[in-house]
Formats: sequence, C-alpha cells, structure tokens
Amino acid sequence: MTDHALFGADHAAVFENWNRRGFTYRCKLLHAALEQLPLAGDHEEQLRLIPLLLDRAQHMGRVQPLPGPTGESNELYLSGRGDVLVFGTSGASPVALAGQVFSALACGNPVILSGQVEAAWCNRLVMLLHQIGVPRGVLTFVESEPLEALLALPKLALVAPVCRAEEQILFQRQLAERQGLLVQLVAETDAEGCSTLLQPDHMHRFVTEKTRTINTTAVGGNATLLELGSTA
Amino acid sequence: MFKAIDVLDPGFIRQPLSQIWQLISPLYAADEDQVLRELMALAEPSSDELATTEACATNLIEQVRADDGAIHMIDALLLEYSLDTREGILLMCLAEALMRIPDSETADALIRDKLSIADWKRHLSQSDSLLVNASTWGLLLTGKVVSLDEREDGTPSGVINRLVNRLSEPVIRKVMQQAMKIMGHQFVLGRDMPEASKRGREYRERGYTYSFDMLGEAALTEADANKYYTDYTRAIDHVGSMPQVGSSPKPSVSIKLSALHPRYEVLQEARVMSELAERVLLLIRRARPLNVALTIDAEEADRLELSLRLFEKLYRSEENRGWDGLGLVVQAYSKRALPVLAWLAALAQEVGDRIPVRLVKGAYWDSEIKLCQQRGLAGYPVFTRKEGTDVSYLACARFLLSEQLRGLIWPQFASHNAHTVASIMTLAEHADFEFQRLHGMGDALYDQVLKQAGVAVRIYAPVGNHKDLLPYLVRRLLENGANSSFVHRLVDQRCPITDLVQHPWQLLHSRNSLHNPNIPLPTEIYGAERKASSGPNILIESEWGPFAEQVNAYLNQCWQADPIIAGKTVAGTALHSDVRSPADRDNLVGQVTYASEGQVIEAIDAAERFLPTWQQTAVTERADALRRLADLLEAHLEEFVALCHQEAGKTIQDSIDEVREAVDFCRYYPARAEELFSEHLDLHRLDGGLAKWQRQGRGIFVCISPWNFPLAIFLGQVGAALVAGNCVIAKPAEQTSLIAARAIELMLEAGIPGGAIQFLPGDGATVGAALTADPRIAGVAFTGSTETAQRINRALSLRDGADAREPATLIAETGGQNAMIVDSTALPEQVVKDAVLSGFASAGQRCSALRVLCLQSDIAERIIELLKGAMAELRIGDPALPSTDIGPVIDESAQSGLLAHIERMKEYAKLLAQTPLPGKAKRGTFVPPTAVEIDRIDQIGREQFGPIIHVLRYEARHLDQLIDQINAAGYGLTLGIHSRNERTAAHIEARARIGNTYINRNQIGAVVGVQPFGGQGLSGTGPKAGGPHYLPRFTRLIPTNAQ
Repeated sequence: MTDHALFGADHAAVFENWNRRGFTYRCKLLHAALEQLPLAGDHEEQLRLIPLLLDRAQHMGRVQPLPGPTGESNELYLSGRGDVLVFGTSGASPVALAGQVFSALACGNPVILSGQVEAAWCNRLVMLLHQIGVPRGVLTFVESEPLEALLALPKLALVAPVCRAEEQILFQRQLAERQGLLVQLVAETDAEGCSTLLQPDHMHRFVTEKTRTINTTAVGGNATLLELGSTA
Repeated sequence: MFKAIDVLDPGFIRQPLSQIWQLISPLYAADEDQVLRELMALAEPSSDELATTEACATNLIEQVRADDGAIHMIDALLLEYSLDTREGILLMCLAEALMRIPDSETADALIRDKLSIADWKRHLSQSDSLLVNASTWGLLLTGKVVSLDEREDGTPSGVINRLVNRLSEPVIRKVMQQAMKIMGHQFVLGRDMPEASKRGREYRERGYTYSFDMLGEAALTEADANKYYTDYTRAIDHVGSMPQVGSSPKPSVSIKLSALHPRYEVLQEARVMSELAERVLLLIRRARPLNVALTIDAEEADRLELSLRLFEKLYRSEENRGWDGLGLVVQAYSKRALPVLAWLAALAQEVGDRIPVRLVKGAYWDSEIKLCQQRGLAGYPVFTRKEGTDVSYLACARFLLSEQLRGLIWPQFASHNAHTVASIMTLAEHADFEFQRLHGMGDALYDQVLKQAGVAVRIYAPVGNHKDLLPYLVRRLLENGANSSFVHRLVDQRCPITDLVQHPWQLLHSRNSLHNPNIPLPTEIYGAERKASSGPNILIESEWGPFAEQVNAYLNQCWQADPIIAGKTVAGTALHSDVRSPADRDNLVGQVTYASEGQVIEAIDAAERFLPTWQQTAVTERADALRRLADLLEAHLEEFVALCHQEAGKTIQDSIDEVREAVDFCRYYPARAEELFSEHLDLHRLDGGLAKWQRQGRGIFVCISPWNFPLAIFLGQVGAALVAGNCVIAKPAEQTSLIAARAIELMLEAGIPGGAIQFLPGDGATVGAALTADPRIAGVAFTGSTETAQRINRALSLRDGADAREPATLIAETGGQNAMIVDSTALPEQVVKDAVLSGFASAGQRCSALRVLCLQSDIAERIIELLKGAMAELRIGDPALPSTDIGPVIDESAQSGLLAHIERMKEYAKLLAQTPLPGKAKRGTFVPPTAVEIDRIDQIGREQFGPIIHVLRYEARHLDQLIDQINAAGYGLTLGIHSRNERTAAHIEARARIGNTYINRNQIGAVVGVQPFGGQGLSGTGPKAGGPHYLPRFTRLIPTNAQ
C-alpha cells in the first residue's frame, strides 16, 4: 500500500498545513472534542488524561530563544515528525488509544488510526475529530488494513501502539527491517494506568526539533549592540 | 603593560623599532580597564584645555545650529531616518539590496517586504530637505499601496486591492529604484573620476580637498582584484592631472588592500608580502611622479599586524624612498592604536620620510565584538564604551600633535564630532595637520572649521558605480550607526549644548568601570551558568607564536591506544593497527590495539557491576567530573590540536574548534543534568491522585562516534550519557582511536570512575556488532551513516533475553543532503564566502556541510563566476601549516568513493571548477574541491561526504518546487538561506523539513547550546545534540511511591 492510496496525493501539503497551524491552534481545536468524546468504559480517565496532554502540548509551542554571540538570533522550536500510526492490540484501552491520537495530533502530525481493537469507538472518535475541524487528510481511520501493511507504509515516521511490553519488541523488529528513515516506536504498555503517556518526556517523542539561526546584522545592523556601546 | 604616558618622552621613539613592535601585539586582548587607565593619563585635559575645548565646541555647535543650511545630503537622511527607527533600518536595507536585483519579481517582493510594515507617515514634512521629503512621499505612497496586499494576519485581502497592487508594481519599482539612485547620488561623489572631480570642484574652491576611494567589497577573486587595481590606476592618473584649485591642497587616493588581493589574510602572509606588495608598489610607482598621495585604509583588527608589516615593506622600498606620500589609517577604538602610532613614528624617524596618518575612530566595531565572541577569544581588541574610544582618540591625538612628531607624521584627524574637533584644535600648538570628513556628512561643522581655524580639510569621497557602492556604504552605516548619533544631537535644538560638550575623559572617569559591563567578555556570554570555551587567536602574533611552538612540540610524538576496561589499560587482540596521517601516509602517528570479542563482554560486565553505584552518585558529582574534564581539555589544547592534525587531517582552526566544541559539551551537559535531575516529578495518575517518580540513567549506553569529529562528538555522546547516570562503553571510529584514547585518559584523570567508562577501540564487525547484540545494552548513541544506523537498529531489535523487555534507545545522528538557497536579493560576495566555507571547510567532511547550492537563475552566472574565482584561490595541503585552507579526506576508501562520484558527475553534470592539488598531495588522501552543475537534486544519489558542491539553478517562480525537491530527498539536517527578503527567508525556513537552518550566514559550525544540532527524516532520530532535550533521552522515569 502507498501513502497516496491512504491519504491522497496532496498529503505532504496537508501535513505541512496542519503542522504550521501551531500548537496553540491545534490544542484549542482538540479541546473542543472533550465534551463529546465517544463514550467508553474509561470515559472519566479520558477526561483526565486528554486535558493534561493538551496542556503539555500547549507549552511545547513556545519558541525558545537561545543565548549566543551578538549580531545573531538563535531559536529552537518544535515541529511534527510526520505520519503517525496509532493502533492497539488485545487489551488496549480507549483512554490509551485516545492519548496516543491526541498526542500525535497536538504535535502537528497526521494520524492513521487503525481499528485493530475497539474499532467502533475508534471510528466514532475519528468522526468526532473530523466534525470539530481536524482535516480529513490529517486523521484517517482504517479498519481492515492488515497491520503488516500499515507498518510498511513508506512515509511512516512514528508508530504509537497501545500494546503489551513483549509485543513492542516484535513491532520494533518489524520496523527495523524497513529501509529509509528510522521509524520511532512510542508504545504505551500500560493500557490501564497510561503511565507512559503521563510522563513529561512522552510528548517530546512526537516532535522533531528545529533551530533557526539568523545573522541579524545582514538585515538591519546590530542596533542592540551599538546602543550598549554608547549608552552603558 | 605599555606605559602610555611614556610616548611623550622624545626618547621613546628612538628605541629600536623591534622593541616598540613588541608592545603592539600583547595589547590585542589586554585588560580593557588597564589599557584605558594608561590612556587616561595621557588624554587627561588640563583645566585650561578643558575650558578652551568646551568654549570652542560650544561655539562650533552654536554656529552650526545658527546655519539654516547646516543639514543636507546624508546628514539630512540620517537625521530623519535615524538608524534607531524601524523606518531607517528598512530604508537602508532596501538601499543595500534593491539595485543589485536583476529580476522584477524579486525586486517587487523585496519592496513589499520592506515598505509595507513601517510607519512612513510620521516622517512626512519633518525635514527641510527636499531629498528627504521627496523620499518620504514616495515611501509613504508605495508603502500604502504595497500594504494593501495583505491583512494583518497575513491573509490576502480583496481582489481589487490585489489588482491595484499588481498593476502598480512596475510603477512602484521604478519609483523606488529612482529613489535609490538619488540616494546613491548622495552617498557617492561620482560614478567615475571625471564626474567626481566635477562635483567636487565647488568644495575645492571653498578650500576643501579630497581623498578619493573606489570603495566596495573585498576582492574574492583575482579578476576582482585586477578590476580594483585598474580602478585605482585610473583614479591616480586622473587625480594626477587635476589642476590646482585655489589654496586647496592636492587630492589624494585611498586604497583598500583587501580589494587588491583575494587573499589579503594573515594566514596567507607569504602571498601578501610578495603578490600584494608588488601590486601596491606598482601603484606607488604610478602615484609618486604625479604627486598623488596614497592612503592605505584600515581593515579588521585581525589584519592590523599584517598591514603594518606590509606597510613597512612598502615604506622602506626603493620606490617610496624620499616620498612623503604613502600613508595609512589607524583606528582609535583599537587597544593597540597608540603603540602603533609610536612604531610608525619610530619607523619614520629611522627612514626619514614623513608618514601621513589618518586617525579614525573605527568602522568595524560590532563585527569585531561578534567575531571575538564566536571564537572565544581572551578579550576584545576594541574598547567597549564609546567614551573609551573617544579617550583613546584624544590620547593618540596628543601624541600625534606633540612637537617631537612634527616632520615624522602628518596627522589627519577624521571625526564628525564637534567636541573631538574642538579638542584637536585646542591640543594643537602648530598647524601641521589636517581634518578629514566623509562626503555628505559634517558639512556645516567643517565649514566653520575652515572659517575659524585655517586648517586643511579633506573629504573622503567614494567614487564608482552606485549599484556596487551603495550597498557597501549603507552596510557600513548599518553596521556602525555611530556616525549618525552625533548628527542628531548636533542639530537637535532640544539637546542642551552642555550635554554635547562633555569631555569624554570626564565621562569615562565618572563610570564605575572603564570597560562596559553590559558587554561580557567572549568567554562569559553564557552568564553564570557556564563559561564558554576559549581559543587562541592564531592571527595575532603574541598568541600564535607560543601556541604554535607548543603544538609543534607534539608533532613528532607517537601515540598509543589500547582498550581500557574498569579504568585499566588491557592488552587487546593480536590485531594492531598502525595509524598514519591522512595528509602523508608515510607519517606514522601511532598504533591502536583493537579490543577482542571477549573484552567486549568484560567491558559490559564491568559496566554492569558499576551501574548501581554510578546511578546513585549525586548528579552534581557526575557533573563536576565532566566540568573538570573541560578544564583539562583546555589545558591540553595544543596536544589535541597536534593529534587532530596528525590523525584526522584537520587544519589548525578546525582543530581548535574541535577541542572548543568538546569543552562546550563538557560544560553544557552538566548544567542541563543538574537542572533535569532537580525537577520534582509528582505526576498525575489517571485515578486523580499523584505519583512520585524519579529520573535515572537508562543503564549501559554504547557510544559509537565518527571520525569527522573525533573529540567533540565522541565526548558529546559519552559526556551526555555519563552525566545522565549511565555507564558508558565507548567505541571510537577506527580511523581516530588515538584522539579518543587520549580523551579517555583525561576523563579518568578528571575523576570519572573507571567503572563508568569503558573504552573499546575496534571495528564495527567485531566490537560494534558484539555490543549491539548484547541484551544488557540499554541504549546506543550513534553518529555516522544512515546505512550503519539502520544496521545498528536492526541488531538492537533482534536481541533476545529477559533484559531486552523493552527496545533499546537509539539516538542516531546521520547524514544530510544539505542545500543552500540563494535568491537574487542576496549579496553575491557573502554567498560565495559562505558557500566555500560551508562546502569545503574540513574537506567537506562535516554532517552539516553544503552539498547543493541552489541559485536563482537570474544571479547564477555572477555567483558561479565568483565561486570559480574563489576556488582558484584555495590552498590545499598539510593541515598543520597555517596557510592550508583544506586538508585531506580521512582515508583511501573515502578518497576513492569521492573521486568516483566526481567522475560520474562529469558524465551527468557540468564540471564548473576544480581546485588543483599540489604535488605533495600524492602522499596523502586528498580530493580536489569540486563544483559541478546539476539539473535535479536526485542526480546526486547518496550523500557525498567530501569537498563537492553541486550547483542547481532555479527560477524565482519555482521556489516552492525547489523546497519540495529538498524535502522529497528525505534528508533534513542543515539548510542555508541567503536572502535580504525576510519574508522569503521565513517562508523557506518554515516549509523546509530541516533540523538546522541558517539565514544569511554559513551553515556549519553549530555551537553547543546555541545551535542544538540534529536533523530529521533520513538525517537522524533526534533529539538534538547540545540542546535542552538531549539528556532526557538518556534517562528513564522510575516510580518511587504512590501518594
């Protein structure tokens, strides 16, 4: 299967637009889904987990200025990694699946949610997110595609399963057989407690970092330094 | 310390010249307070001088303020569009770039970029100058029209507005280009000498004279240097034929050495002293019979000593003997200015010919500060307060005007500051000197000087094509707006005259510190958190001499590397490997003993045993050990530089930078670790409660490092893993095991326990494979090729056993197909400098190196010509020689792969240029720097890790397709952007899926903590090395107890 077959030919542009919307916009948008999350047994937990994740993502939108020599600006910011595959294996909970989906989306990634388990709930979640404004090309529900085919999608950047600890070894093995970029595996192996999702480092696995260095003297001189030199 | 007051003793300049020379260089980065204390003793005004100067300055200012026509030309423009306003900056930026843009599309975009975001209206009718008001109306109208294009949020506005915009673009462009021409007319006296002398005649009749200059960019190529040389000869011939006008002294010509030779650099001294000297002697031969004095302009501080050596050679030449016409410029903001003047006076006394000396305050102040900070130098060569420079100027002036210097030096005082002018007039007890001012500035002030003092005034006047000169002149203004500050206050009636006539000595004296506390020393720019790494300035005699001596002492040393397990060197396998220098394969550098498979297991066992202890060691203890290592590395700088030359083929500056980066890692990660491990981790649970967690190292980390940064990346990986609480097994690159072994020895010396760090030199098949197959390994930090990273990933994933319950962490930093995008607003000379450095420095063996130079087709020809010329000037050879620009590639395998690629490219692409290799290159593994032109990025294939730049042309309207192509290649490490259009640069940066983007500069040399380094896609997994998110990946969170 090709990425185009799944997402459409304009997928790169769809990802780019979603990614450029910024964390604040996406978090606000995703927040709107909270009221209408499809009911599941762990609905209360979802209502606790998702706001925490969105709150964390919100802070990730900050452009961080970095210190350095005068006459140059240096900034670090975060950006989505690319296509994320979310799925669950037997025993996966809706709350953990939702956690992975919201994490991936909030960070600017397009998501393929596979209905290996909890298919009906996953489908309802995707419909809801489409309704509240998540572009269709950004979030795709697949019910019948075999997992092997999904794990082989050429443009995949990250796989975020909800699975057992021993299963992630197998998924890692499968992903390692691929050519091209090293696909990241960010598994939640605690379907009930979501202990990985709750950790502060978790969300950072869904992003890539970008630095932007500008020689500011090339467009406008070093006014700040000149001022320091004459008014200190 | 040099005693400044001693220069007034007539005996001082009778000392041997060499003794005075010795005083100059050590002041390069001397303690600023100490230097200024010395100068203050010399500059201190007597009460009479103080009173006279104040009265004179007050009178000058009153006269200027009373003059209705005092402010015009550049003064007027700067007054209205001050460089501390947004409009002023935007106007100058537009002037800097617009005239060189050949295509209307890009020109229109630049106009939109600069004009639509400022408040031009507030400048309307604020000025009496016709030029300024005409410009303001033009800017206001165009600014209004172009701003219709977009709403504040960046979305397009109505169709009609956009239509108006499109229809009016050609008109706006024409208006703007006309405005820039008018501006060029103000800044430049004439497009050629006849025009300049015609325009200057009126001033000459009023008693002024001129120094003409063919100002412009420094020459990058022999062709450019030849062009400048021809311009200078024409100027000399023309000035020589100019008739005497009234009492106005004969005009002169200023020459810029960096325009006359493409490599006017300290490290190319042999060429400077032969090729450049010969060229200037030709100018002297031409000028002297015509009695046209020549003044050598000042350049950056690093070239001062070279300039003086060259000046001495020229001055002592037969061609110059008996002539009083060869002079030079001395910058008072330099800590070395006064001893330089003393040396010149002593030289004149020895030889007997008078030297004209133009004393200026200095024009490169901000770039001097920036360069020193970038290079971690011991201090600044310039004063950090304006009043410090002013005091130095007056100290120099007192010396220049002293009786003993009459007949030796002809002082030429250049300033637009009324107080400085008044001070000179007060200090002078004779009239053997002149003033100088810039064309278009200070007219009213110097009209008064001419009227009152009867001292000659020379106008420094740029001559040449507006298109070439305006950008240069405007850049000088932008980079050093100091010239404009006094103009403002001089004519601003609200500014009390008493404020303008305060003596700089008094002002400086009133300060708590003589240096500027707001400008930290280069090693203090990161504040209290950590010290920046330091390095010597190899361009300064007093720093280079002792440093080179110590490096040389290590060059014949033979090093040895063996496995180190549990802190002890162990005998390796029978497999020994001789290490030979890549620059000369006959040169045996040392020997490496490879670790056996059994030793791999021993090392893992040792690490496993020590892990609990290391994880429980306080983070501050781990951090302090790493900080001690940083200090030890700095203490062993010379040894590592020698090792880097010998084993890795690195040039001198590359070697220093290598050690500096390692030092920065060893100070940055401790700071981050202490921050990270002090976080309180009370995390929410899904049931609403809180759980306490703590952070600890993941376990045993394997660090597999590359040969291209054998110390910096090696210690970056190892240091991060260690300080985060992991035990580390380090496998260095086979090619650079000696450097790594020496680093491990220093780690142990720094107090890192032997159990925490194991060292296993060896090849990937034996050592690497055994390590990555072991289930006890919790993580791998790897830098190298994408293919090897995939192999490691596969090996890690195939591990079995109870320990492998979760996948090992793999932090991989891999290759790049790095592009630089250049649009037609870019400054071609800067582009080529940055492209050559980015593509060829370190023989292109940097992950960040430029591989694809993407040129907007409208400017491609000019840039390709410059690139060819600049490549012809590169010097390839022994990396231990200061004159070497490019050393060898690492080994035969790399060499043959790169040469094969070049051959393949010759079939599919157009060979643009190739720098020839010297004969001696046969002894080593050298690859000639090569530029080829391709049609598509995918023609390159895999990353070529060497000195090869692929040039690709693109049409301005296809910029987005180009970005798509770059993204489609799948790599995402570095990107360079050269554009004066900030919106264009921002657009490219946002769209490109790249880890590190550099705008209007080179794209290599990421600094720890400043430009965290790492890519995306095929270029690596992240997180970025040297960034705030790196250490957490070496740790895990462990629950402690539930609340």
